[in-house]
Amino acid sequence: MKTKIEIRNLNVWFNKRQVIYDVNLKVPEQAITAVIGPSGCGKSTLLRAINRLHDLIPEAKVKGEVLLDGKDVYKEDPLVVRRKIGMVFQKPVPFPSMSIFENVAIGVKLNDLAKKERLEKIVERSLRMAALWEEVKDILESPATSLSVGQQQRLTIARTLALEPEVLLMDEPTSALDPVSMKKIEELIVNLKNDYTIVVVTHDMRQAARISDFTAFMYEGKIIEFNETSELFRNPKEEITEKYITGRIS
Amino acid sequence: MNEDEVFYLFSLAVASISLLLLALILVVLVQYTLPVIKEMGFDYFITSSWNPVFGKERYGILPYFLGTVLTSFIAVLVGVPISFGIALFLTEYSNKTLKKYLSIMIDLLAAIPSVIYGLWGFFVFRNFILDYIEKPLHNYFGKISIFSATPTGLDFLSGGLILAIMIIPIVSSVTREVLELVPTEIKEGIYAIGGNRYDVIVYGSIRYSKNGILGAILLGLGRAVGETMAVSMVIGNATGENALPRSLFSAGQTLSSLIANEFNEANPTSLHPNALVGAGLVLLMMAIVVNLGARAIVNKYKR
Amino acid sequence: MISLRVKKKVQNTFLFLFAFLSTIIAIIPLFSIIFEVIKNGIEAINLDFFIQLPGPLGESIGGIANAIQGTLILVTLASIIGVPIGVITGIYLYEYGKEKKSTLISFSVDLLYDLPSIVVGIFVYITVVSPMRSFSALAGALALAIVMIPIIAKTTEESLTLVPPTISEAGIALGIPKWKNIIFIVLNSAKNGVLNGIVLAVARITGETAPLIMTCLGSNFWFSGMDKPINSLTLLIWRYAMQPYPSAVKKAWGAAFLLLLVALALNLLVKSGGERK
Repeated sequence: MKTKIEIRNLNVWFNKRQVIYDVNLKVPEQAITAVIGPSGCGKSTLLRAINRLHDLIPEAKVKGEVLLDGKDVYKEDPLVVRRKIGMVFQKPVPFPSMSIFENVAIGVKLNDLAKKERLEKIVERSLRMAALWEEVKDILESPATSLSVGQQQRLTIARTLALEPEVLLMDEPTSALDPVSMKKIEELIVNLKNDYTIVVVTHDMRQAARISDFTAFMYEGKIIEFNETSELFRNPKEEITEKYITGRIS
Repeated sequence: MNEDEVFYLFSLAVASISLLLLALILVVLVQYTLPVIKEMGFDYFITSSWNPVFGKERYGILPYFLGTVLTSFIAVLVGVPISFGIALFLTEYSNKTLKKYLSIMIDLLAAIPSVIYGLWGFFVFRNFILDYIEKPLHNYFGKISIFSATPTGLDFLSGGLILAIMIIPIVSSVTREVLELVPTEIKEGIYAIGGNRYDVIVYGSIRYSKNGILGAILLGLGRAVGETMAVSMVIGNATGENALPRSLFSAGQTLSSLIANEFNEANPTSLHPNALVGAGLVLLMMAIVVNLGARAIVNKYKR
Repeated sequence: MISLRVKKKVQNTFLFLFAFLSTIIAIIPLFSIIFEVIKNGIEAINLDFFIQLPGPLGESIGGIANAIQGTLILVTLASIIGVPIGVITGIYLYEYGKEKKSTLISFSVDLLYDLPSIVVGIFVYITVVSPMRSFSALAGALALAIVMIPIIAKTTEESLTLVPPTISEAGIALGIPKWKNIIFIVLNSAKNGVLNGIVLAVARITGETAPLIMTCLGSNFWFSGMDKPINSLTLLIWRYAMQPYPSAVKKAWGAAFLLLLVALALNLLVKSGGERK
């Protein structure tokens, strides 16, 4: 498969303490890659290094390359990078003072990407892709906070999709949700992989097994193993991987 | 230069206005006070004559400094225990509704403009203090110096008491915050060894929050020192030697009330305005010192 | 020897009484002030009160119209100057305040906040009134603006800090520049808190007197120019309260009634608005 994102020799420090050690990873295009590992192993840090969120933290230092379609994102305009690589967070964060419509449109508006007239179309398209349109099409002007938590998460996904990114990074997107919402989001993610390259960080191994095509196992800041999901779970090559999968370390 | 850098520089420039203002205020006030210090020397700070008459000018702000100190002291002496009582009542004896409405009422006390406190103080409060506190005290204890002067209601005591009311909102709200930060383990620990509510408060909450409460007191003191209008309307407006605090019932003056009362009448060709500005400078210094101390203690405590 | 149980009971009762009585003692002035202001002020309220000039001191006719006008003009002008500076300063403190170089600015804002307002009046007198050789509305407004700035800066900074960092992070993840994130996402989310802070600051300067004494002086006439003296409700109350003329005192109570109404209304507005977050 073609590689969409290649991470080369990535090292990250927080306040002089190293948290990511020499990570090399090739993320395949239009597929779902899961990143699993015990809490504190650096999964979220790795994810945030891809869309350069660490730029905002003075205590963080990043060395290495992250190539999007062959070009190092750390040499490109970070704003463009973040539009191409969207991120969905663990806690659904609708912007509280805005309506549903405004929430979806805000990224597009603030980036001056579309004229007012096109906004309605963009909002509808994004909400449809996020499987939320039918539920909110009549209440677009209501506050985003009036939605249920599951709906709010789909709203943030719509918000990210509105920018027409190429990659979706998802940091434990369902861990704050109830099982029903979780299932809906998992279905959504699987549907989206036809048009996007998706990286999902999850602490739920079974979720990774359910939805992902490829899985990377991280432990203490290093990538221990990376393989097709079915292979990794059935025939883990490394001992630590096996220990994690069988629940002996967590 | 990218957008974010422009934004940073712009907001820095605007924020620097505060720095600029502060520096200007200090410089201007010192500069304007110098002439009267040159003329009077250190006597300006430690004597009590106050004579703006041309040819015989003498300026000494000691009585006014003492007036500020005395009224603020009374304010803290009376106002802090009451504030503490309120904070206790709100944290220990109130349910949600009571807390809500009482808090609103205390906040409303803070919302009343100072000049309205003064108006009420001049027509209502002063008579109350006169009839129920000053006259009895003077009649029975008039031999003691602090109760000696013939009471009129417009004096240091009224000034101090009205300040006491005015500092209640800030002192009680900070004390309340501080008390609410006391960990339940400490309180439960004392209950567990057989303590009653009194023990929990005295040996638990208060001991734990000592520094925070001290900070609250200093904040109240800072507020009292800077207050002008209400005090100027009930303190009696004496000047010079007559303004020296001799008794709680003698008419007096604070640094701030002096400025409010005399500034517009001061002859610009004399040193009178300079002397008044000097009073403002001393007041400024007092307010800064107290508030800096208060903030240092409260911040250290909250960490 | 008093039994331990009795001692404990007495202690608890004493504590409760202390707390309860303190609360009563604190609340009484509130009600007394409101009661007296209404009682004495309402007598003064009639149409003339609102539309007529005060006339010479002691005149039983006349109203406080110019004081109302003056307060409105002063507060509006002060806000035009003070609100933008205060909000932007608050934004600066929120975003860049933790850096080493901004401790000086943070410190200055704190000190300005603590300044007795009469000192601000002195400052404006020396720097504006004296060179202009005239008391003026401009000077008064400037003095009030200086009082407002640190208040609004602090409340703005606090409100921004209350916005969960996840919101700021989500905004950045959308690929917008930092400044747009601060203004359109974070500040937007903190809208209510920031507005409340502004309303409270406006209420506060509406009730200020000390900085106006030596800057705009007060007057018996309508507003006649930014460079001329101007009256205000607070100045009128202060000047008329202790006069020996009953008509002046009546006007003072009437002005106090109006002023108190505005101050309390604005504060209650903020309290109820704050709950509607």
